[in-house]
Amino acid sequence: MKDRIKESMSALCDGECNELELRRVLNYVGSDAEMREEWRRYQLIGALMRDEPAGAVDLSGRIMKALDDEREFVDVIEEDQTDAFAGAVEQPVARKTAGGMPQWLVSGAVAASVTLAVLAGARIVNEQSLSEQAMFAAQQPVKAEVAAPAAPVSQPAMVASTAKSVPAVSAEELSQAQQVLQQYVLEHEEQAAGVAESDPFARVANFGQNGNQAKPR
Amino acid sequence: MNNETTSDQQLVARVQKGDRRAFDLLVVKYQHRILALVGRFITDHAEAQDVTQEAFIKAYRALPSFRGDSQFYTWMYRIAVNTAKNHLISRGRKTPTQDIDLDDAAFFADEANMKDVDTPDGLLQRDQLRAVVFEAIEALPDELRRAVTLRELEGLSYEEIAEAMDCPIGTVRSRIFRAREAIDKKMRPLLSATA
Repeated sequence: MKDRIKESMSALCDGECNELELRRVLNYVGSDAEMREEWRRYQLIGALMRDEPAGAVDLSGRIMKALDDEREFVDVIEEDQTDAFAGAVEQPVARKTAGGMPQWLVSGAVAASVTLAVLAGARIVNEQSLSEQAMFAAQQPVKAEVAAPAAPVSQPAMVASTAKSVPAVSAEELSQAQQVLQQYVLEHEEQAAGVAESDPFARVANFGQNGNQAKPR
Repeated sequence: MNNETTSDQQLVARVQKGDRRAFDLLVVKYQHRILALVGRFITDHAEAQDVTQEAFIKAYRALPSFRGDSQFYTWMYRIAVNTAKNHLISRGRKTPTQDIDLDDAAFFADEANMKDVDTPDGLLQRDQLRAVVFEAIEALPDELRRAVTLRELEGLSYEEIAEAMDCPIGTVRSRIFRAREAIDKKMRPLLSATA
């Protein structure tokens, strides 16, 4: 096995080894000091044969050590910076607690305010979605005329109960909204019938070209 | 593109992917040539070694931005020259009046220049090693000697050697490896004795 790796290493010296062999050689060089020495001696043989600078001096050990030290130094600096940052974040809390308020009270107050904010936000979002549902529900009879789907029993009841929280809409506005929605539904029915299910984007692209007017069926 | 360049490109690509072992192999490969180059600027052996180390560290830091437009050695050569010059300037010394041409990179690093930076012991050992290597080559079977000579001295690729020796590429590869192993076996005792 080692001979095969050495042969790959010999081929690497000559630029004749493939990527897989290179990885294998690097794995061995990293884990086996003798293999690394082998590489050094192969290089030495070539250099001596060609009468190039060569010698027993090996600077690679100290160079790699210097790189390792530098890396460790960078790691330590990064750790220090992280600690300093963490300290900067923690500092205000520490000051407050030093001001007389127990830490658990501060934490509790923060948690409570976050919970309140979430609840308030959820309420606003809920109201908006309910008003949209109410608008949609108002069109249900129209849609039922066009597509005649089986309307769920629970939906009108839900709309009836939530419609109270929706701002008042005049009869005229409601009528306009119904007309617009009716047009959309009709167009959708027409286009959906003419376009294959596997080509949904074509339907979207054609929507504007055909106009928004409802065509008689 | 010669084979040395291919080998360097493979190793550089690995370093750029974060493999430091590949950089170690590049350092081992070029340390003596770079040391000889630095020795043209800085004659003190220990100082030249320090500057060589600094040059390699700079190269390692700069390798992520190395795009391979030039050969790794040419690129490394520039870094080494600049590092040596900056070192001299920082010490208040003059840089050589005659600049070293980049085209000379492959040629100037000869034995004579090496003598400038190597210690007497180092030089003696180098001569001994060289003698052992050539003795070992002489003792090789003809096909191994031819294969390793065509590769190391003539710089032929495996394919070219296969053609010249009328044998498969795999055989060339195996012969060169066996030749190296045989030379290494003779050389090793000398290296371990001086280590």
